Amino acid sequence: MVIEKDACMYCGCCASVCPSNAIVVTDYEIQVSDDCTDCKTCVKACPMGAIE
Amino acid sequence: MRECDIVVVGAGPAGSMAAYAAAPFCDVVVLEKRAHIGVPKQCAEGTSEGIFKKLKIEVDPKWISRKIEFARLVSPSGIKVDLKDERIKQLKFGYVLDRKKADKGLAERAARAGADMYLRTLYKEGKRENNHVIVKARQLDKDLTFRAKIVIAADGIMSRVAKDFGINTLLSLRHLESCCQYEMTGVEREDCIEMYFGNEIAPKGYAWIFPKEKDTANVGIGILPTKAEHPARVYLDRFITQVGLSGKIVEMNAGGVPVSGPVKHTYADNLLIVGDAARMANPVSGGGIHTALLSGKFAGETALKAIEQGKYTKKYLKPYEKLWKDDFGKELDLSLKGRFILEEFTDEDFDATARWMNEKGIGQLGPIDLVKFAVKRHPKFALKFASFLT
Repeated sequence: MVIEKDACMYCGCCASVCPSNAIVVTDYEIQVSDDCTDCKTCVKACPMGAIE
Repeated sequence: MRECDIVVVGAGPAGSMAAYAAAPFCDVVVLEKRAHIGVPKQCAEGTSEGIFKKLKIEVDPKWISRKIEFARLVSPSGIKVDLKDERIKQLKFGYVLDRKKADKGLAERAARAGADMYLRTLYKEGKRENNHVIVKARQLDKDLTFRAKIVIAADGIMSRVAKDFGINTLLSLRHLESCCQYEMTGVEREDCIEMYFGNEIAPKGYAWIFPKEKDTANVGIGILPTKAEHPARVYLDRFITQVGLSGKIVEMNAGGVPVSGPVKHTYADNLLIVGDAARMANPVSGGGIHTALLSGKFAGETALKAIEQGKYTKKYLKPYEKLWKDDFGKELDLSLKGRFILEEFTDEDFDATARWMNEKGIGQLGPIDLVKFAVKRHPKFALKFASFLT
């Protein structure tokens, strides 16, 4: 998955549904760890359509 | 290393209530990842007046953006149902809050009660060690370590703390309402919150207009991603065009609402989980301020009692679960069942229900009438409604 950071609102929808617990969202940053399996659950969760 | 009694992770309403309850009597630390409490808002900001009275919280007038007299439901073809007669008034729709001010105000209360506030402090990891918890965090450019007796997970939708302590709070995609909202000018409205239903408008969710100061309002939408073709933002833009709002956008918000109903285990050794982190939002309305405030208070009080007894195992934290279940457990249970029924509704079902509510007079309707109506329309609802009533 690829995050278009310019469209990200750092709301955490993606992190809440990530089965690998691979996403950490702070006030100003979103980090994806190597645990990401590219399952794309986060793509559907994002209200902004910021993840592909 | 900083020794303390309780670490609260998150300074939203739940975390601040927990800290406020315990701080006068023990050493409480609150970790908040953001630099500004309550910012950005991730909420339509509607809640009841009654919850503040019940919790004896003195409401600062600045926390309230608008006092709400009634609610209006709008069906897909535009039939309006105004929930405003005497019986409905008992529900006390209450307030559209200014969450930035309310959340900050609640955090200030906790701070004045003695809680030690760490802002811009990101929770990194937590673990149990010799009957205690070790919490690692990062404040600005410094790594911090806390050793506490109990950790209260008030870290919201992402709910990372509980996972570190062995409670699975992972949200299934089919239990997430993915939400987008604009605060807009030029939205002149009565003191009424509006909710728009329909599978085209907001698949398995609803769109809302919640008025705030002067001509501003929160205009937003929540959708179930598993049933939607587009992200929430696309549906929101469409909705704004459809209802013909021509004002300007003065703020953008995004966020998620857990509609799964509460997690199975809301406590463990050295751990209590509150508010959105415990998935305590109402699965139909998405409202979670009242349950956050209540669960936070219950968690703070339970933690304090455990500390006074010198025991922090789950046996001593179990009373928390009884407290919140006795208070709002039933509300969440019924609403979850209600949510599953509403998810079966076609647009024609919404329209027919709205017409029928208006014909009957909403104040005259009891739950039994609603069941009779729905079952007559769709015999397949009979089973679901039966479970609704038990």
